[in-house]
Amino acid sequence: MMTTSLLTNLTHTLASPLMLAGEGSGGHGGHAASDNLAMLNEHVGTGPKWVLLIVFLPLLGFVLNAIYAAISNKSKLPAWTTIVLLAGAFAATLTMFLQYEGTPYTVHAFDWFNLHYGDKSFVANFSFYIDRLTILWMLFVTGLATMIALYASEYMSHDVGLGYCRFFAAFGLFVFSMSCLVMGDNMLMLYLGWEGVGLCSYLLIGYFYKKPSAVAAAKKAFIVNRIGDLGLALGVYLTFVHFGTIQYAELFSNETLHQYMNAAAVGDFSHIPAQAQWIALLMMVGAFGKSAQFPLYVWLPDAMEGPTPVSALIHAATMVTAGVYLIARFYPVFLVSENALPIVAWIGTITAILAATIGMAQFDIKRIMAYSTVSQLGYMFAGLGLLTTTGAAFHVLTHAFFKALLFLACGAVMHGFAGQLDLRKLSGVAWMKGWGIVGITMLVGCMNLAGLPYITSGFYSKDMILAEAFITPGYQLIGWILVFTAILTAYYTFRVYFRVFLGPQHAEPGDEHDDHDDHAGDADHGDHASHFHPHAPGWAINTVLIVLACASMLSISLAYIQKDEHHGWVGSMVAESSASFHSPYAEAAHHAHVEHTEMHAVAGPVGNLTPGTVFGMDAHQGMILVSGLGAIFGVLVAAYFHGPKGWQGLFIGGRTEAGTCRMDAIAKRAGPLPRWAENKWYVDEIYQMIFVGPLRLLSHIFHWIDKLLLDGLVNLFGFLPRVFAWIIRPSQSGVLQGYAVSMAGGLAILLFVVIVIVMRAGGAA
Amino acid sequence: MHSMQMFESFQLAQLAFPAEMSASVLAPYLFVSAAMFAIGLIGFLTRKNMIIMFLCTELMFQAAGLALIAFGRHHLGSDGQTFVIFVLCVAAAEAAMALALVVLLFRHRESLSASAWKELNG
Amino acid sequence: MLATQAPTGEDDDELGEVDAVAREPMLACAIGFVLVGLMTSAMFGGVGQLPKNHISEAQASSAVLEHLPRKVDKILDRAGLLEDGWRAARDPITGLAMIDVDAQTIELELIGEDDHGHEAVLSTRTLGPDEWPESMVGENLDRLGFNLLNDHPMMIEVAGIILLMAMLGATVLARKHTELEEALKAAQARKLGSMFEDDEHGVTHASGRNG
Repeated sequence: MMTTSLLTNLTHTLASPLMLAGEGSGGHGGHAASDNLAMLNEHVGTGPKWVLLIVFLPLLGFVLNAIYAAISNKSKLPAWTTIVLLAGAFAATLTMFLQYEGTPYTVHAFDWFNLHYGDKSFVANFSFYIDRLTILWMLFVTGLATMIALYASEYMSHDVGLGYCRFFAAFGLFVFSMSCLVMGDNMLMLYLGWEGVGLCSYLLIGYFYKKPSAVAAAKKAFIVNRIGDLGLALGVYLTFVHFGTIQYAELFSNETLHQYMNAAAVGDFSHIPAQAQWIALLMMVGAFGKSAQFPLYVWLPDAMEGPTPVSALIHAATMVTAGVYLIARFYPVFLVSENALPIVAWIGTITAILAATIGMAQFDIKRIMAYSTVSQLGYMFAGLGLLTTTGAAFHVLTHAFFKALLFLACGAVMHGFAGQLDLRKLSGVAWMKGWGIVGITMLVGCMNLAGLPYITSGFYSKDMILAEAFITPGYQLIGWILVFTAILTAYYTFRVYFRVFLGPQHAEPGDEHDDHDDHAGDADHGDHASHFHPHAPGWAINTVLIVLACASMLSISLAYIQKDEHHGWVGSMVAESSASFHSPYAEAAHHAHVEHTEMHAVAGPVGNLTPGTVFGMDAHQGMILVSGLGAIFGVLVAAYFHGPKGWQGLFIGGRTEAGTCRMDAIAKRAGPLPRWAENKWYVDEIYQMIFVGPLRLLSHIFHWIDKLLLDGLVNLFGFLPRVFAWIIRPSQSGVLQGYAVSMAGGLAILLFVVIVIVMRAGGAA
Repeated sequence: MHSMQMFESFQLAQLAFPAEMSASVLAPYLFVSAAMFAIGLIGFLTRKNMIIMFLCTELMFQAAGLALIAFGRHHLGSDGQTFVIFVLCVAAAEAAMALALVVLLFRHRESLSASAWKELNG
Repeated sequence: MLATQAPTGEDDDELGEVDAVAREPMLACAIGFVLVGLMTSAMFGGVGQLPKNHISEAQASSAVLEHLPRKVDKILDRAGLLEDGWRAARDPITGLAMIDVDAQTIELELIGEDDHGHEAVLSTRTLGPDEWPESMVGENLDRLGFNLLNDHPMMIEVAGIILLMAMLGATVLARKHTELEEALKAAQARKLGSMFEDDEHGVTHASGRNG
């Protein structure tokens, strides 16, 4: 109809940045494969040594902070040191980006493992591999680290002294480990960084080590990560076994790998040995652990026990993207495995919707943000599985900015309201004095997370993934699930915003209020509430929030830069790295759309199938419509149920006070579902039953075996000398005749021996 | 016959005429010596009275002396008997010492029992 | 009776039982029998191969009789074969009696004063086998004594020393120890010491003073 064609034209013009350019893509699989291989075959040179500053400046920060702790520094010097060093690292990263000429290079720090035996070798040096993917990651890692360090300098200011130094020391060590992970030149450096970030996550989650829940959360994070690390380690071993090397440069130029890729590009996995296919499956487990995918996501919500800057940096922007980086970096290895990418896609989808449903029912705003992180990570993994590394990388970038922003804003709320995070107890914060900036930046972040069309960068990044779900054949169901999840995302995000930041002003202080001796020890809680004054954020927090909000908004432009050759600036970064992959389906779909021809089957990694469409339209166009409308719909639903009366609730809300809203009535009538969702679908309890319980029983059994069997064995050995002595002691009886018997007996034996021998030798009768 | 031969040998021995002693004549003497020695040994190991124990050691001495004399006779020399004189002399000296020691021990514990000196608790 | 007097006078009821129970009966008997068996087996096994003696009986006998001329004289005298002044002949150089037990001959000589008044052999006679006295044998005792004094004289000395040591040792061990008080001990020491003083000339003489 006319309306649909009008709509189609509209979306077409506005969607141009999201579509492939015409020239470069021929549209059949072989061309794409050779494009990918051409990228991998590029010669890897050596780079300038100042690149090492990026890695070692944060490590210097760690050392200096340790020294500050040793000398019991009680000022904010650790924070300034860390900020300056991290800013230096960011400056080095920027320089590296600006001076990058297009060919990857390695920078060698020092020899670590350099073993050669015969014609085989194991080389894993402390050196760094720089290509565009690395630069992309390092830009936002170092940038966000600097910003969040600035934020933390004020946020943690009530803890100056040893705790402050400890915080920033772990912070510096974390950035160092993340740099090793991202910039490492071989899988051992990756693993080093992997474990390092796990360690720092443990240290920082357990920062309030006197709180048992924080300690338990830190242990949980570390242990669940460890389960994933096993998979990663096995993947590294298998890579070495199969390809003979763990260095990126050699791995990506390995001939066998190229043969596998050529076969995989047309969907022919029968000649690829199982050993090579298992590499990806094992590494995938590691990525699931680190990036909190189902079933290893249970540590991330508990990790909110750590201070908010930690949540922002580690559990929103950097550490959890390590899994995405892993898969992106080793995309060739993942492509040659038949089932790896589909599993990644499905796990990502399941995680996305599971976390979204849990997040909808939580009342702690940091927890909601944590579950939204898990959900968005699911999106990124789905994007990787759907053969769009660009979409995943772009979503990583935008998500890093807006999620950090959201966490920092929640942290500001927590900091200002003495630890209060329950959205039933806060309302109208945006209107309180001094909280305006927080309100506006939070709005920016929420809009990005919801993915409101065109005005947010989150929309563009999410859209790339959603569109790809329909283009790549066989994943339509994933696409619809992700669309539904997007609606849920918009709903729960704006639930938080409408409840906490808009409406009548109301604030109840949290638990930390009792720690602050602001008032003269009133025991009456009601009195406290009335005497409580929220502590508005200072310049550091506000500055960081503003910068992050601007960055989120400015990253819209990244979608438009170089939109013709690649999918925006991120696409250009990804395209010149090992993560680049031009999906033949996407090319065919775009070709068909641009040329207005029918789509036909195309040979690709999932088979010789036809790319899909959305309601008959080109996937990108269709998705703009669907996801845009879905996001707006979600916001409206949130406004209806949780929005305050009046214009703040978009004129459809009805909430008049902080604690209640229209949703409560529906929740009561919805039966057990809301309660189950609030209890995280009892996943933790199921794990406790399946894994932790039996392990504890086993440990009790082993304890008793150790005590009875092993200790018994050792005690038996200790008992043996006593037995021996008991046997021998009677020989020292003090009885004269006993000794005489011994003498005579010995003589008799000796004579017996002599005479018998003599007789035998002599042969006498 | 065997017994006749032995009787003749005994007669000759009685006449103190050094007759060549064959092994069959020597054997009984050695057997008696061995028996005396064993009896002395068993007695020494079995009795508690120190004087009786000493008596048994003397018996062992005599057994050795008897064996010496028998062999001396076998070899038709006087060395065996000479050595026995010496052995008797030493036995006498040793008897003197042993009895002096027994007297001393008796003075300390007021008992001639060897088990009075059992102080180890093994 | 010493054995039965072993316990002291107080514990008369212990008399019966002190030696009634043997110590180590089983082991002792076992060892004893083992030793007896070994010795008898050695005896029957090895004694048969003892080396034969080299001396004949006659040699053993004559060996000692030669060294005992006066015993020869006595036996001949008892047998009534010696007239006055006759005695068994001695070898002029070695002093051995000239008697041959194998051939059963004894040389006799008459001892008297010669022309110059010295003792000299006046005449000799040989006793033949038909006059051989039955009691002319070297007794075991003779042989033993001769062997003891001739071949092992040192043994007698050593035996003497051993007996002396034993006597002294027994005396020392068996004396009664008396406990003196300190003052008495000191006085005694002084008295003993003053008994052996030196005078100006360095000659020690016993002091006349006795305590």
